[in-house]
Order: sequence, then C-alpha cells, then structure tokens
Amino acid sequence: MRLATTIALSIMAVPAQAHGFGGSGWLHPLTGPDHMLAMIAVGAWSAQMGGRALWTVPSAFLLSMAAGGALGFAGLNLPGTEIGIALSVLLLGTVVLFAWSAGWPVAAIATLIFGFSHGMAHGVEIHTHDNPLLYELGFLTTTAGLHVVGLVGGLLLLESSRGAMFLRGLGACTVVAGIYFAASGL
Amino acid sequence: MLLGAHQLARQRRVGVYLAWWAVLYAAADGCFELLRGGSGSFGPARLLAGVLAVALVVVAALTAQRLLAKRAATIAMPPPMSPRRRLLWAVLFAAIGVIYGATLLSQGGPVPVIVIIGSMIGGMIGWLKTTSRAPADPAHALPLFALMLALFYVHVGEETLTNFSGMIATITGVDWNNHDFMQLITLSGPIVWFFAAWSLWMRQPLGNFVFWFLIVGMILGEPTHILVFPVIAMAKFGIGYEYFSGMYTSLFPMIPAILALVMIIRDHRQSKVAGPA
Repeated sequence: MRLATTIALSIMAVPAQAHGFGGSGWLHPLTGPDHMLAMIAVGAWSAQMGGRALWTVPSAFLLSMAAGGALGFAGLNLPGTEIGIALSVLLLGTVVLFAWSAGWPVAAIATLIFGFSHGMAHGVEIHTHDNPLLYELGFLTTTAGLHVVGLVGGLLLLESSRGAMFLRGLGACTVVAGIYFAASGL
Repeated sequence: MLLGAHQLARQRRVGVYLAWWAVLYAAADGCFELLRGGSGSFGPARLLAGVLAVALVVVAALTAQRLLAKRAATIAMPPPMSPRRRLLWAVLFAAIGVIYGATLLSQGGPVPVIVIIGSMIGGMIGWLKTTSRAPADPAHALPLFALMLALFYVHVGEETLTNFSGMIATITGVDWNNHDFMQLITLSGPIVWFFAAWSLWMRQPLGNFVFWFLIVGMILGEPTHILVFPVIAMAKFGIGYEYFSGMYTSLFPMIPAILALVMIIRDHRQSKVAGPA
C-alpha cells in the first residue's frame, strides 16, 4: 500500500526545488536534507537486510537516479517530484524503524522508484550548469558516498550490542523528518 | 579555557571554579536560546539552533553531575578490533572523505581538497597502522587534541580577519564566499570536533581517526600557508613572496600536533614490545 502510494504520488508531481547548492552536482545531495536522509537510509536498510541487498539496493537507487537525472535534463518534468522525495524519506525511515526485511528484489524495486524521484529533482537543475555530464557524475558520486556511509555505518552499528535498536531509533528520526518534509510540500 | 582545563585536570580550586562558571554559562545560554526561539516561524535554522541549545543544557547538566561526584571517570580499554571491523571503519572514513572532498572541491577548488583530503588519507594510514589496534590513551591524547584545536582556532581567527576565502578564490579561480567558509569552519567543524573529543575519550575509532587527521593536517597541511599558497600567488600574478591569509599563525597548531605524533608512536612501540593484552 505504501509502495503504491509512493508510485502514485511520485508520478503526479511538481517541479523540484533547489536547495541552495550553488549549481554544483556534487553538492546537491548534501545541501538538501531530504536527499541526504533518504540516501543514508537506503544504505542503512541494505545493512539491515544483508546478503545481496548490500549491493543491489543502493545500485538500484543509483541507476534509477541516473535515469531520472537524464530524463530531467531531456526536459521531462513530472509533477509531484518534491512530495515523492518527502515520501521516500518517510517510507525509508519507516522500513529502517521496523527493520523490514523485504527481500532484495522488492527492496530494489522500491528504491528504483525513490531514486527516480531524486534523479528528476537533480536533473531539472542540470540546465543551470555548464557541464551536464560532470554535474550528473557529481551528484551520483556524492549519492554513492552517502549510500556507503549509511551501509557501513549500519553494519558497524549492527555489530555492537545495542546498535540494532540505535539504528531503528535513527529510522524513527528519519520518519519524523519525512513527515515534516511531506507537510511542507503539501 | 585551556588554562582552566589544565588546572581542573590537576584538581586545583581555580580549575573547579572555572568549570562551574562554564557549566552555569552554558546552561544559561542554552535556556536563553530556547526561550528566545519560542516565538516566530519554525524552520530548519531554528530547529538547528534549538538542538544546539538543548545540547548545551544537557552537556552542562552532565558536567555539573561529574563535578558534584568529585571523581574522574575512567574508560576501560576496548577489546582488539577484528580485521573486518577495521576494514568497515576504513571504508566509512573513505566515504566521508569522498563526500567532504566533493564539498570542498565545489566550494574552494582543488587546492583545499589536496590539503584537507590529503591529510585525511594520511590520517587514515596513520590510524590503520597504530591507534586502530590500540586506541590512544585519552588522558594523554585529549589535552593535546584540545590544545591543537585551540591553536587552530587562533589560526582561523587570523584567516577570518584577513579574508582567507577571498584570497584562496583569487589563486584558484573558484569563488569561495565568506559565508560558506564560516559555515564550514565555525559551525560544521566544531560539531565534528566535539563528537571526536567525546569519541576519543571513549577510545572509539572515530575519535582516534579524527585525532590522526588533525595531526597530519596541522603538520603537513598548515605549512601550505607559507610554502604553497604564496608561491601559487607568485606564479599566478608575477608578484614577490607576500603575506597570505593565515600565514603568521599557521605553524602554531603544529607544536601540539608533533607532541601528539611522538606520543602515539611511542605508545605504539611500547604496545608492540608488550605484545597483545
């Protein structure tokens, strides 16, 4: 149900808003707390699931983000991108909070949708930059870095005695942030 | 503050007095910020200010509790880290380095990236070779860490007064505005240093890595104010060797950094001789 809601809202969309990132692809994921939280949560969720999810889920996010970015650059401007991003934060926080072991195919498909929303938000800004390829490479590199931070940080937390509970607490904080972003975007 | 901490470490009355002063000041400042922030519109900046105000009150309360208990806390040596855990920490630090490098590249151009990310790589090698196996003794490491930061912020003061970001922008061609520079050095930086100090006290890998990063940065990174930046300016503008922002105080933090390096290497050698616990 949550997945269906996300798909529906991601498709209905409004143009994405910039986050004061100075036109740099590298900085775009970092200066938007919604992007940053979702990307770290993708890594943390992968760590909770383990196995193939460790690389398939972040890779799915990156691939769809690249596709979303390219389509955004090509002029496709779907409405509801911002609310889709807010919901991705909310839902990714929720799955981390409940440590939902969805299985890697389901998780990868879910993150494909989330990644597309984030890619679109980045892609519509490419026109403001001199070198679109460098811009896209920039935000993908930073996104991959944030995935690794979430993933490795999650694995390290899960190895400590109360780490699993702490990670779920971080998921709860992400849910609160997601609600705030969604409320701001509505 | 440093003198107060030194006196407190020696359990002298003036140190205890200064500690209570700091506790009451922090608690009052945090409460004042919370009361002041209670009105007006809510936004991310206000949220951050609120979190920092609450943090000030909490830290003040914890410090007061420690002062009333009149005893120093001790942290036991953790068990040796497994190779897998060491690798995971190294990957985490590398990922943070990539993200931080990307931020710096966008804001300040390639020169700060070479200096700061170079220091991070050097720090990671140092950490992997030494304190990842046996964490630094906080009783010796923390005073040097604090002194390094105090002298570093004297240096940042000189940079701020003499338009460092503007001067870097002239030699790299990348516009690094003063607002972004201040945000990075005087807001993001202290948050990291605070958690690193706590982590160093807890003998955790994060604190030990940041300690190493600062040591390498202060020894190899800061001399760029004397040896690299003015030389780039000479080559670019055809001028003589002239003052570059931050030049006069750039070597100050190098002194505790060298002492810290000597301490780490000495402790590492001793632990190797003693063998695994």
